Amino acid sequence: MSAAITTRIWLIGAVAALIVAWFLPELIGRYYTQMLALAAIYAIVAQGLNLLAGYTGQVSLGHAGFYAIGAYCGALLATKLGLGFWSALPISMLAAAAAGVLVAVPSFKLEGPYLAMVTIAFGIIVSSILVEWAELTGGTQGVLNIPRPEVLGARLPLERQFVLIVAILALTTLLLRNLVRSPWGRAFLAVRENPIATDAVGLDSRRVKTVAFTLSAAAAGLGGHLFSYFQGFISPEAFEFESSVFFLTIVILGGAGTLGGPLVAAPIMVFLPELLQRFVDYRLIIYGTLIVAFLYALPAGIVGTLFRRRNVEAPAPAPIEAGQQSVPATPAARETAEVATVLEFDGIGMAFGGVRALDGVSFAVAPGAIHALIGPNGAGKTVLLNVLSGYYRPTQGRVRLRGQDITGLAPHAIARLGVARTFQTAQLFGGMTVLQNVLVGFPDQTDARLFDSAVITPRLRREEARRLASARELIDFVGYRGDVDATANSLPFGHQRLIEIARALAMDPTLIAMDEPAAGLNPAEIEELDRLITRISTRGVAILLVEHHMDLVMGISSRVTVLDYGQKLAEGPPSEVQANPLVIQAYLGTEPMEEAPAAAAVAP
Amino acid sequence: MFQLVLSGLALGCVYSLVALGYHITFVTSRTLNFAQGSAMMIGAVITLILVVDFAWPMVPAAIAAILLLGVFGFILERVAVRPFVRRGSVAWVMSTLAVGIIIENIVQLTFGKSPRGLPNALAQDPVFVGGAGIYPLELLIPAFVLAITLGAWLFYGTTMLGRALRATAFDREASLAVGINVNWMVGLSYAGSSMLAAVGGALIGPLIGVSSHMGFLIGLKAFAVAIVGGLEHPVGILVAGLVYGVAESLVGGYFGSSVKEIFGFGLVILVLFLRPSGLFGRTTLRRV
Repeated sequence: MSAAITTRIWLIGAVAALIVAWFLPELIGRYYTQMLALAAIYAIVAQGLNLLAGYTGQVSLGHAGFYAIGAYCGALLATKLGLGFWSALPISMLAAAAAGVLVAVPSFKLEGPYLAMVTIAFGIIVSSILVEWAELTGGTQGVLNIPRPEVLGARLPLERQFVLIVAILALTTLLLRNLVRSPWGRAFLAVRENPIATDAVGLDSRRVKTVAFTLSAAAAGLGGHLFSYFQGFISPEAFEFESSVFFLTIVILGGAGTLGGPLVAAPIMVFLPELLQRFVDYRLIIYGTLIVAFLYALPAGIVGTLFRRRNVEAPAPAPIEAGQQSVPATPAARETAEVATVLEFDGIGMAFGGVRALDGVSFAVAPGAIHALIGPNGAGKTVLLNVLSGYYRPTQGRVRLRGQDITGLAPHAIARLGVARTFQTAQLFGGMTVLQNVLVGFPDQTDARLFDSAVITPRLRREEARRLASARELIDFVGYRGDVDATANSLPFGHQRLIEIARALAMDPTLIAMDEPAAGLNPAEIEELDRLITRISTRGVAILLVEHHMDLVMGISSRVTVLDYGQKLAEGPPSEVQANPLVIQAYLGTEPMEEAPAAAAVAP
Repeated sequence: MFQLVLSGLALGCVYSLVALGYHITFVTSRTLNFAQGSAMMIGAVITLILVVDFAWPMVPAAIAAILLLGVFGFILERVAVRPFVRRGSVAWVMSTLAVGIIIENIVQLTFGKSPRGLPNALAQDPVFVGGAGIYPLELLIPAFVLAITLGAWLFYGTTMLGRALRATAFDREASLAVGINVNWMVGLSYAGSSMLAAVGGALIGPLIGVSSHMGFLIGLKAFAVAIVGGLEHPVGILVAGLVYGVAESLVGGYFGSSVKEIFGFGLVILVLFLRPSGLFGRTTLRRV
């Protein structure tokens, strides 16, 4: 199904939901209307959590905290300052969003259970404060007499509040849909799939996480605000740890990372206890058992199981303009054509504890050159690449890119300055498609484009169309002929390499550092790679090539640097290096002529 | 003050014990049992039932409870963890939480809602140490926990099974390659984890009373302790548990019990902000 058609379906769905919401209360009565309204509020919170846990992979077990902040903010502004529903709404959302930033900052470097701990702790702190700070929050009593929302000066009756809540849910869902299909959506998925590769393509994973936390918290705050005005009273019980678990259950039950998931799962979670009302005592036991059974039977959640891979479509492209097909030299490459060196290592030393992995390594890479870096295992080649990419901070020396000192910059910053990287084992975004993997590489996608992304402006559409065309061109350029909508982790090894190179090229780099690109490839593939590297260098992109395949290295390199035990052993054109006795010694041992026959004699 | 420190130490030891339960499943399987608090609670409940209703002496009752919890942990891993891990899903978080909910409610239904006392000679008459009144059991708990830790250390270091568990923790693939039944090891680590929780339950039951929801907060705090100490660092967890227990006891004693949660969990966030792998965890360089 094309993206344009699904967009229309979502819009029609939203309008239909509003129409149904308008007439439904008469049919089902007050009680069920109330239940459905609650379900819609929970769905709003869950959509926010879905962005964070489902799309960005940051599982939060403290969302009740953000929900509580929105709820109490709304309630207190109304009861203490006399603000109305609408004027308090942005404040509630902002307060929750600010808390989101507060939680995001200590969470930057945390993963899995450690992140879960921070969110749990946040949730517990908030709920304890609600009880403790009784003068403000009313303690265990909570806040009473919260006025109903008004529209045009009239208090809304329950039936119309329900319509309002459904409208807000529809709006939230549509905005989320736009967002996850935009460049920001790719950034969220990238963080979920592979944080290291995210930084390697120049996206600041911290920033992406912070944005996800902030938006997610704002949605939870919005839900809380609605909750307090809808209920008319709030008390701390609704905001305890169980509620955080409840929201996460909605997300996972519906299908984490699916837009429809929370919409389906929230009503189920609300009505399930209703159905079990007859078994008052056994209610929670059955509830828990059903959750386990659901999780067991529907591993990808309800919506995730029904619509496999529907959630990762590319955005609707505008018509492709002609004349973009041939790009002789990349813009970054053109800029550097005049300088004598693109990259300079100046006395790099790197010590891990007492081990000196690198010791005073200096050499320079010329623009557009294919510069090979070779040496026996353990010579420090990958360490040097990691210093270059900013994963390690050298204990000595400087790294300069086009004369600019980049030593100690963050990996994403170095990537943005034009140093792309491929890894020994390809670091792709496994769950994303080939096309998305390459699209993530394009620079400047997430610069102040949140608004564009949320409403999908024509400008964004144009940019995306351009990126899509270039991505296809790059995929073609590296020689990948397979399905561009296949998920990256389903590709064979050799193809993953190619896609990683295409992604690196998308970054419009000055230089690509390739770590053993030929490892594990068969001879035919190596020949392909040989040609590909040459073609890349004719585009004006310099290549720093770490490689063990000597045929490849000697055939295509313009210059070779040899490392041994962390020190530079030799440097020069391939033929010169090949003839260098020191190099031969390093590779074959001290006395090659005498040891070789001895080894041969031992062999059976 | 001295009294607060002593009872904080006892409480901290129980946190450490339950927290070590998180540690041993995490290192072998990268998963955690979020029903750990509930496991502690049923450990205490079973002990109480055997002691009160069946008039067993305390020690055999506790041992029986611990063994039963071993079986529980083993089954829990099969039912609520492995099916999800095999699919590469994180739904085991939800499923173990759900198991916790189920257990709590089953106990509430059968055992009753209100807390019951677990009578123990060591927790009836306080003794006076340096002017501080304290139950002998509180003094015994640290010694007890130390003995268990030493025992575990010997078990891991000297027995074949212990070595196989360590190998699994160190490198799953390589362990498979040398013929270790990794699935079995993960099951056993869950059994061990729940047994540690049961020990904690039997130890703390006489002090704080036994009820269906006694495990929830202790389970969470033990998780905090495991994280702050560093999930992969048993020594760190022991230290973190003691520190948490004492700090909480002091803050609770001087500022009231609800402030102590705000303080405790606030501290957890602060520690993680400064030391993302826990107090004793080394921030390893990423290998790429």
